[in-house]
Amino acid sequence: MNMNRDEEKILEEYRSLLADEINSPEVQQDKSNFISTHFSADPVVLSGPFLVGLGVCVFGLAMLLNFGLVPKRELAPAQALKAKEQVQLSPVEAVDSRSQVTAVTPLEADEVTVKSVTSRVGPTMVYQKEINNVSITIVWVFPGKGM
Amino acid sequence: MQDPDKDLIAKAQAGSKDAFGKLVTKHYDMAYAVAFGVVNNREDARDVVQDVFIKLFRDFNKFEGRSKFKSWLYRVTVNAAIDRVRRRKPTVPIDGDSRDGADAVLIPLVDTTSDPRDHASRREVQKLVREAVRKLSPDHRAVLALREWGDMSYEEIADILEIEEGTVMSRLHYARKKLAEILTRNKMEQEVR
Repeated sequence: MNMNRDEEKILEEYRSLLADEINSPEVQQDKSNFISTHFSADPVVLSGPFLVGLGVCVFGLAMLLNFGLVPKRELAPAQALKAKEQVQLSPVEAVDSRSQVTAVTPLEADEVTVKSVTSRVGPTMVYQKEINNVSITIVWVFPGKGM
Repeated sequence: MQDPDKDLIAKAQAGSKDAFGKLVTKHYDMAYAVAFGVVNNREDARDVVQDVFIKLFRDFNKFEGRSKFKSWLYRVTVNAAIDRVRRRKPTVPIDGDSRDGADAVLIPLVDTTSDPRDHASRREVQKLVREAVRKLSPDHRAVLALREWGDMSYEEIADILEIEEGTVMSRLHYARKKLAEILTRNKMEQEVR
């Protein structure tokens, strides 16, 4: 497309007008504010390498557990526990009739005195108790005691 | 031809703000120039470009890569800028000598050049150019900006604006002639005064 000298001169001015506008400090400031406000770097948690690392760790741990490489702690059977003294249990009143059901003393009201407990596994205590001819196994767990 | 932004596009489509931020950093100036070429004032150009980038980021998965990112960005920017000009309510020009009043020319009050006469002369020419551009339609402004700033071929401009190449050439020819006429007339008027 042929242009005369005037047209060329005008287009030169036009380009220079756009260049001055783009390079003006206000426009460049707007640009950096906009980018830093809306498109700043991704947080570390969301970045690819972090997620890959986390995935590898979880997978590794799962494999170790699967092949039994991490020692498992199992509860010892109830028979392994020995109480030095006999556990004192207060008797539980028998429930004779339906009408008495509402008046039954709650189970937690039973007094249990444990003077001393030894255990091979540490922070748990297991013993058996008979209530109304039903034998139940009671497991005590002491959080924060060597777990 | 492969898109030079391919890697950044892939990362951005996977949700990386940082990658999209790099695309914005790379293309902001060109998109701004095109928007400014159409709307012809700073505030609208900034709003158009920033709105476009935010919308593009939100819907970035819709970009299928059939055209280059740059062409896609220009298409969205030009359309948003043309739409802005058409929706704009007429305002009263601050310099008082404009007839259509569609765009007010903002002239900085602080002179930072060493030679005030050069600066004044340049300012005057730029003011005339802006006033001349203002008299063109948004469609003509868009073609002019893409060609003169984006340095794009007729084919690329036709693709961006979704018009025929012949239409691009005729609009460009008209825009250049019109600018030359307006500026010549303005110069002559100034000389008479």
